[in-house]
Amino acid sequence: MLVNARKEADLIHPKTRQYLELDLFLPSLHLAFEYQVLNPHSLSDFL
Amino acid sequence: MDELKQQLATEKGITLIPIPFWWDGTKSRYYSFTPLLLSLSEPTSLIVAQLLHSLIATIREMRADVVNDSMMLLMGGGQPIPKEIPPHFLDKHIPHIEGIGEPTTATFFTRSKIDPTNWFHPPLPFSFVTHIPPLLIV
Repeated sequence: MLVNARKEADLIHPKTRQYLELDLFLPSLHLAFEYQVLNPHSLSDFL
Repeated sequence: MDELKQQLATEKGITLIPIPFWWDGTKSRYYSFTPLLLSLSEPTSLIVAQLLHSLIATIREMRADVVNDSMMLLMGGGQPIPKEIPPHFLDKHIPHIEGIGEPTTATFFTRSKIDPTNWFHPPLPFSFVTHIPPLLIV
């Protein structure tokens, strides 16, 4: 299990060429989780 | 969730599952239990699954190969995390105390160089009081 996986997931942003981060990555299962965090910006989408 | 990230993950053969903030678990539970559950054998994994039924049901929804039928059956057919935010989830919960109503929040001067001594004078009927104890500074 990898937390905040970057290189391991090998997801590269096509414009910036930077690795994108996965909150939780299980390489053996090819499974990843993205944990949504409530912040003031996302809150405005729901009100 | 970032659609680009989802697209790139799909291209790499990775199933990327978004966990919305209205999931009933905490981040620590999410990190601690999910990989543990996926690595455990039955029946231990079933016990852990009781704690995470909605997350497990969500995983099954997208990757039935990871969560098997017997696990779901013993979980009692847990429902996946709702796609939409539950109603009233963001409502502000104001406690109510009988006879008082909404409790006030105490405030204190902290880290201040201002000396509030004698800021408040007694009203005229009590003007004979010459000394008012200074406010308690915490």
